[in-house]
Amino acid sequence: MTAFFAMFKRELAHYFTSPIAYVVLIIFSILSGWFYVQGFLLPYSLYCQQYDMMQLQQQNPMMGQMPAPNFTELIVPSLFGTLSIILIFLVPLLTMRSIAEEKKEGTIELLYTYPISDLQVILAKYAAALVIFSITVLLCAFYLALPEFIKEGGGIVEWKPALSALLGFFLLGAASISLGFIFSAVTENQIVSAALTFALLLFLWVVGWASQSDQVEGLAKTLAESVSLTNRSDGLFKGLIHLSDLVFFFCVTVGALFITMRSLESHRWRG
Amino acid sequence: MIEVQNLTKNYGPVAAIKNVTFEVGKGEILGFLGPNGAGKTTTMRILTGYFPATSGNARVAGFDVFSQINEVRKRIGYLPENVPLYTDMSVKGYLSLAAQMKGLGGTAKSSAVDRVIEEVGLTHMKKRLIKKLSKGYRQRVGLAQSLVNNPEVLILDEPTVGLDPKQITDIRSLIKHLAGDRTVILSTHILPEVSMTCDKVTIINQGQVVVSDTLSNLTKRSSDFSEISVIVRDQGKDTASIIQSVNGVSEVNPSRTGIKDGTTKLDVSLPEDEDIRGAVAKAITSADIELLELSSRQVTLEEIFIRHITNEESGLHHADPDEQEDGLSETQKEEESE
Repeated sequence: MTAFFAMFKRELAHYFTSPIAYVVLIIFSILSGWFYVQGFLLPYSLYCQQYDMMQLQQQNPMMGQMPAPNFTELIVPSLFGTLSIILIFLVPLLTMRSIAEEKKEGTIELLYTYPISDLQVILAKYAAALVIFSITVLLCAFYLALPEFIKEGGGIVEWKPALSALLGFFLLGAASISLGFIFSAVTENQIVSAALTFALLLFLWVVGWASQSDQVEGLAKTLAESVSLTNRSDGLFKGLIHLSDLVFFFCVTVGALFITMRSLESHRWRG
Repeated sequence: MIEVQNLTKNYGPVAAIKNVTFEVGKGEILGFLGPNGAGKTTTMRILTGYFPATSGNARVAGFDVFSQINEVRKRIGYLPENVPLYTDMSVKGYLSLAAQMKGLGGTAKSSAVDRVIEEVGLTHMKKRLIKKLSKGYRQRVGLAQSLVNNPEVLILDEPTVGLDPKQITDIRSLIKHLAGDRTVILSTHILPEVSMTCDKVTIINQGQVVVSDTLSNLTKRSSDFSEISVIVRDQGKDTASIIQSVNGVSEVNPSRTGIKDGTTKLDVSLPEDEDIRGAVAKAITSADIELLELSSRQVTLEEIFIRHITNEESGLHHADPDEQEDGLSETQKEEESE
């Protein structure tokens, strides 16, 4: 356990000294902040104003057609849909060096000869990446809580669906990072590792997007719907927790880490 | 302490090492000698559990490197050839990490780190970032890292490569000092390094052990008087044939080192069971040649090395160590008759 925590602390510190953590967190804050305010918060408050005005003009015939503003329903799912696209760009930055750099610098040779198992090494590195990612989840929680502070009296955000959305975002990130780890383990070139991770995540997103099209039908549609990470998280963003989605994310994460471990071990038989 | 038996490692169809067998006793320093690509690193990596051998057995500190690799790893210190370090960390930070990776925690960790920092002479550098250190100091950090778990066995892969002469001397004396009662395997292709630091030598070439013996046995021929060198001022006389004519002289070769202003240096092989140096001296002086020097010649490690490597390449290698000695002198004869 000492070895695991030592490795975990080193990885976490390296994210800040390198300084990938700052790059990732700043980019995420700027992009997500901009989308949140410009794309969601302002239109939402506009809508609220319009709705209030309609209510004042009691006889307005449009009255019945304009539903009451519901932050959780209107904003949360599409906000997280947008944020998950940012993840596609940022996860490769988080994972590209994790193992590739050790291979390139040769420091992996020492890891292989220390009394620490490959699994411990991978889990420590994964945990560190997850901690950095969790900071973005906290930022998202702040976005969800913000309307509560702006509007007097609060009561805008429904907490259960909001927590489900945060869970979805966390699971999506955790699975994406584990997929990135595979590519970090198979190459010693960080750019190749980042590019492959990006390509895979983009593909899984495009597939989910395509599955919603009418032109895709039958088996292809079912397949596309079920493999797409973002499709799986959409339900959670809406506040719908399906066991199948939770199992899916769990399997992807564990499976990807298992492949990473196998790939790390392969030097033993490959020579 | 280290027993290696018939170790073979194949990279696909290529055998990196074939039937490597040697033994190192407790407290001994073994020089693992061979040209680049001979299989030194491969052997060391097997001993450290980096990868398993294709076949054969190896035991380190009483534990099998295949079935009990974790026990082995706890008891060894390893310094890979390219000294891989986390260069973004400080010396002390890195050594703490290494100590924790080797399972030391709390006060055991801090005292181990302080101990190795002092041992390798890094006290005034301990707060520096490793990337700001010179190659020589990095090498010390690498050594410190290998020592931090107070290992019984030290495995050092070319610890002096790429250093300047001063640093090389420093690291060598450091290794000798650190060895203490530890068992050390030190790979190198620099021969003086072995004569300076090691007790035993194993020479490996093209994946096979060519010779394995103590340093003194290797550098000393069977007796002190069987190999001599003679320096004469012969003014053009054929000293070689005069010496050759002495009863019992097996070979006379003009030495490649130093023929100047009328003097000639000759390497002479004499029988091992009979001291005929006096007869040789007499023959030279009676032919009216000035005898300037007659000394017994120590075979240098370079000669042994070259002899064994060429031996190997000309296909005269024999697996049996006794036959090896024969093969050795055959080649030497060949070499000297050139």
